[in-house]
Amino acid sequence: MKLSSALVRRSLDGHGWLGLLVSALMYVVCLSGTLAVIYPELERWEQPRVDETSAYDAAQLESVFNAFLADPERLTPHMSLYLPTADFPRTRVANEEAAWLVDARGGLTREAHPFTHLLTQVHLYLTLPGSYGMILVSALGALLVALILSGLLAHPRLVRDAFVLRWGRGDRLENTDLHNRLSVWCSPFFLLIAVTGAWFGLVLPLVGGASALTGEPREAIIASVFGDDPAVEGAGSLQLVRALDTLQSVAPQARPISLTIHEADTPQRFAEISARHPRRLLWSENYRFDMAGNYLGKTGFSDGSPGKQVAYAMYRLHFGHFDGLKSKLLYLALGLALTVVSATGMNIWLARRGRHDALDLIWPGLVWGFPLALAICALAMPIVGVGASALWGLTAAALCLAVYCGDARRARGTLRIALALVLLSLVASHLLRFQAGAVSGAALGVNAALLVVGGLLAGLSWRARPQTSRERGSGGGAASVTRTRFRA
Amino acid sequence: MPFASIALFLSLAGVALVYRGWRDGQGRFSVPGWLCLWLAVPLWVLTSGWEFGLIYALTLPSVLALAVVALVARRREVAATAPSASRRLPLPALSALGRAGLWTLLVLPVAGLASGLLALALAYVVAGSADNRIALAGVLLPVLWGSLAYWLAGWRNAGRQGAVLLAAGVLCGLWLVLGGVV
Repeated sequence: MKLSSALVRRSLDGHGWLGLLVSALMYVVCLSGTLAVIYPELERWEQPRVDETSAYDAAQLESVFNAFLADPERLTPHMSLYLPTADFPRTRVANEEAAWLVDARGGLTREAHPFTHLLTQVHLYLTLPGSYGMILVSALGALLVALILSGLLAHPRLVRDAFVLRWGRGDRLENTDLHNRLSVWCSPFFLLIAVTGAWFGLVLPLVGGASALTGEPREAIIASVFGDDPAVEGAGSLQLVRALDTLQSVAPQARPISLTIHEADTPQRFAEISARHPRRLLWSENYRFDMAGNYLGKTGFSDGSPGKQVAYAMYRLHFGHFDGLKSKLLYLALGLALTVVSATGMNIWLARRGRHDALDLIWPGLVWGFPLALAICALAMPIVGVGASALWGLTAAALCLAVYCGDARRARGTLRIALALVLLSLVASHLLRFQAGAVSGAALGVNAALLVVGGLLAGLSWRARPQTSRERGSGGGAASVTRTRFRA
Repeated sequence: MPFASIALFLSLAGVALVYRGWRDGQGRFSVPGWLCLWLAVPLWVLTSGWEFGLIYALTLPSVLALAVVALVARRREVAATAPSASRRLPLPALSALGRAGLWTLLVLPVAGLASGLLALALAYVVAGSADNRIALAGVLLPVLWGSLAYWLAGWRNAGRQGAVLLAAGVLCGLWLVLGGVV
């Protein structure tokens, strides 16, 4: 099917305009989202000295959790017990404010993963307050749909160029080929991410809008998905062993992953065990019990209406947490592809402008400066508590450094080598702090990945260094001409 | 179970044949290539269940195709030269900023609101129960919003497009208020 030139022109124009509107935020959300795929591994990396096992003693956990529930200092309306799984072989208890790791003797240690928390805050909220940040990030999901649609319609040579990649000069052609090949081949995945990503921030405003316009109570709409609270009376301590045994007889295929006590600070408290069903995308089916371990029913995510099943599958579908390491690696690769598409899109626009100003420095400053800021935060976190202000402040400093460099190639090279050095330092400091803990379990995988990425970046920077004395003498200045290698 | 290995082999073979057909410009390789990719789908489903299987069937060929792109990429040895950038950042004219602001308003809150109302209206027509309605509206919303944003960005005509968005939003809102729950 041949696209009309008018349609192609409008689509390209719209694609460029939309891309320009969202480029910076889209890049930040895509990169943080790609890293967030392995957030459980990052949490384990931040606190590696924990005895890990996916086995547990239900009777011991019953005792530990009941003691936790009985502590008035820690009691909040929702109290949770997270059972160890193959993906996350640690036992935890949590209230609405904090979580504690449970060791083999039943002792509690405060869980601490501030860097991972910062990373997920960036992806979910862009560190903006309340739900505004989530709505903005979800809006980016909707605009990603627009970019996919306009990008495909702006690409008349889609089939002809399907396997073309001309690289080696870092110029507009290389960026265009990279941008087009990644975006066309990965468009089904990108569309999936866009729609599922938009869900989280937009579904509650939809519920609010539906309630306001139709008169249906908001609570009724939410209850239609998540179920009403069961009517129970007579709170006592939780009979966890009995509840788990009952679950085994009610749903032998379900693997319990967590338990939450709802209305924990009232006599109407009840327990909800979340259990995974094999080969299902839904986060869990939720089985309800009273505190004596009597089965009250389930919410119906596994076999209820299509709406319930879709709603409860969105998280694992978006983050790739459904088939262990296999699905995470797949999502990491495809998430990185989306991040590169975001970066190269802006590179193409900058190259097409026909003029050169500070934007040519600011953009690579963001592309390399933001991950550098993240890495510096991870390095500094154990020494000083750094948060969103430090992250954005460091990113702004990287932008200023890039502008100070005065030359796009030098800006990229400087930030890239800085990032390589910080990543390698991160591994070294982790090894010094945790010794054997740094080379076992998830920490080994994360440190190995940091080493590989740091090494690759260092190698890339070495290859991109000035090759001749003419080039060494011609850095900076608007009048000089320099070789432009890998743009951003 | 050999299904996973066969599915992977079919996916690899499919991508390789599609590439060969593309390179030679001949359908006799492309068609079997796409057939292999389609045949891999039920095998992924048998291996991993239909939910996981469909995701693998949808995403793995992308990764394999990009691997082929990387393998056959043409490296250009001579580096291009480009003028270096100035540190100056000339600000756009106020009128250009104003136009950009107007289009941002249309694309973001106005199109978002209109598509939200349209998604709810469609969901209330199609779906019978509250949970199905909200789930359907939640999936439709970004698709509609993205489509409207594409239309706005490509055919920039603020007056006509703004009027259409407003009318669509008002009509859907009225329908929901007056029609209500069926």
